[in-house]
Amino acid sequence: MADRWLAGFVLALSAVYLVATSRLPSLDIGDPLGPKAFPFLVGGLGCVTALWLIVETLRKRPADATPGLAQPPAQHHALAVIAVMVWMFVFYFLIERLGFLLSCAIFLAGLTGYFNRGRWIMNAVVYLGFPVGVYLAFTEILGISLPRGVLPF
Amino acid sequence: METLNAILGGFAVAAQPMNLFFVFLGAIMGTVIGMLPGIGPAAGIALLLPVTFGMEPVSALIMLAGIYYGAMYGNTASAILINTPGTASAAMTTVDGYPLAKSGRGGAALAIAAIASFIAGTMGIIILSLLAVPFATFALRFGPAEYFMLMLFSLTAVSALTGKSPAKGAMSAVFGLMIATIGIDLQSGQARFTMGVPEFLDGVGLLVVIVGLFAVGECLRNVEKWFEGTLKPIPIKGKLWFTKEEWSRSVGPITRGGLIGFAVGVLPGAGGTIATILAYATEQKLSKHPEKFGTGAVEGVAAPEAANNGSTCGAFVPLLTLGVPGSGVTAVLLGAFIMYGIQPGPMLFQNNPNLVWGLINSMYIGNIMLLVLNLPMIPLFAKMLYAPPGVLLAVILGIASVGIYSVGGSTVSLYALIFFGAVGYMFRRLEIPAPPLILALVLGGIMEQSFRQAMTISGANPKIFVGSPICIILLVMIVIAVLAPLVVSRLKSLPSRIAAKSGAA
Repeated sequence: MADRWLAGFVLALSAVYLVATSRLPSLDIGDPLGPKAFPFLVGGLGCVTALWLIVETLRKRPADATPGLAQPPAQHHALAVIAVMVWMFVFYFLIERLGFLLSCAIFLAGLTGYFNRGRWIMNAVVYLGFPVGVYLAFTEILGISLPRGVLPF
Repeated sequence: METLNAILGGFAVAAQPMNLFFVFLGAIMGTVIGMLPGIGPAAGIALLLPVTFGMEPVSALIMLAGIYYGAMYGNTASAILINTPGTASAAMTTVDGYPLAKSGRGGAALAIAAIASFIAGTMGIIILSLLAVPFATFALRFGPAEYFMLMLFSLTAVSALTGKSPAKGAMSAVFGLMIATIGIDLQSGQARFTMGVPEFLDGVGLLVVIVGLFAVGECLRNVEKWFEGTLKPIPIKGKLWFTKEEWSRSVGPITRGGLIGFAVGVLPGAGGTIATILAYATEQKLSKHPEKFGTGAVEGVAAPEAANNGSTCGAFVPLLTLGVPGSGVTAVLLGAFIMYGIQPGPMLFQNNPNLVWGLINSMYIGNIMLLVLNLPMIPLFAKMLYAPPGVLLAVILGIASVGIYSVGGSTVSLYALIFFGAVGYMFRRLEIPAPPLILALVLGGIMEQSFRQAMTISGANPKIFVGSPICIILLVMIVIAVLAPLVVSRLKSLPSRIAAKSGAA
């Protein structure tokens, strides 16, 4: 079933892509094709792959109806994945506001606190040591500056 | 004579103390990255690319290549000790390696794997050196139409062969081509598909996509696996060496495996996984005791381990001589070359012999270092398999974030990283292979350029794409690549079929 949805999504995406291509202004100077031809090919190919997948799912049906199917993970797993993405977003939102050291330490403390529960000392070494080590390596050795933020150093 | 001088010059480059250090670094990191399930060489190389920006291109490439072939040593340990391949190309090693470890011969399996990797790797580099110049000379005859067809062949082969479903592989490639068209069209100056984001005028950064798809996507998948618990590694028992009898049984499989691996590695799409399966199947056919395979036969470890190292060397042939990668990892390496302003391909051997031979010859040194590192040190490295998954997850996400920020210099690229991480996660859930996307993204710009050049030459007549013998041969190869999954899908189910058989027995 998921594959049908995927095919539908790719078909829709290709259609949007083709419409966007057709709306590009044509500036074909000394180039018989211009900037649209290749995207048209790609969009067309996208539609073909969607149809191809539909054909594949129709043909496969009887063969692996029961055993091969992977069990869908329970609902709270998907929630955890979304939560980690939100947590990443929080880190990135804070990176220039609080600075790299603080925001990264908070990010890692949160992750290790949940996924490596109870091992306080090991986690502290990670969420304090990693940002400091990376910060020193980037600014002192590699000469790449990272946001300093609210800290004075 | 000229070539011989270039090769010797390459040794001089590879032996510079600085470069020796970077080979060593690459070898160690490759071993670690290969060993840890969940982070493969493609993501590892992408994670390290930002750090290499200030370095000499040759040193950086030597290190990144070291990660690639080093991973082929490292992926063995997790395959043998926790029955989980560190990277996909070690899947075949689990079939006999894990039973060996369970019966207390884990040390022997690891030692045979290290020796097999070393012999096949060294053989592979020698063949690579012999083939490189003839290949490059031949490729000089390619015009834009031939190049377009070659890239199309590579893309078709990778799409058709990397996943379970060729349609999904092709979808992945189409996504990659779509992303590749984002940004300013270099020939007309027209901005395309930027969705109003100024950062996208230069195109979507390759690194963001690779790190997102491979590293972040895998981390998100591991979040789910975390809830399911993890496997505990089997401690290495006994001496880290093998008996004379085990060795004499392994010599043939190592030699044949290395050669098969190299040949398969040259072909786009097939890559390490299929090479290991072919090598394993060959040995099973040749063996007088085929029934022992799957229950802990040393040959079953030696052959695939030789094959995956041979295939790495083979994969360098099209990358270096044609400038067209045939797999996800070599596509990332091509991205690295381009970032340093170097275009691999036939001209590379003429314009930059020190770089290319320095890189190739550094692999001899790298393989020696890996052998030394892996034989006595592997129990030490294997301790990493005990590292808590929660800490690994956090650290990998941390490295990915810093790397992308330091290259992009803005939070826009970080938000894009979350997006591509989510895409990578969905790809894993829906079993869409990621390598075709990366390959298409790296090749997309060059493909469009050669497509338009060819059409300009022919006055917009598409017949130019079948207008030369080389083009026609490539077209036939494309058709073969489209049909290949019919044969390969049977091959790919081999590990599970063997496991099912030996499990039932």
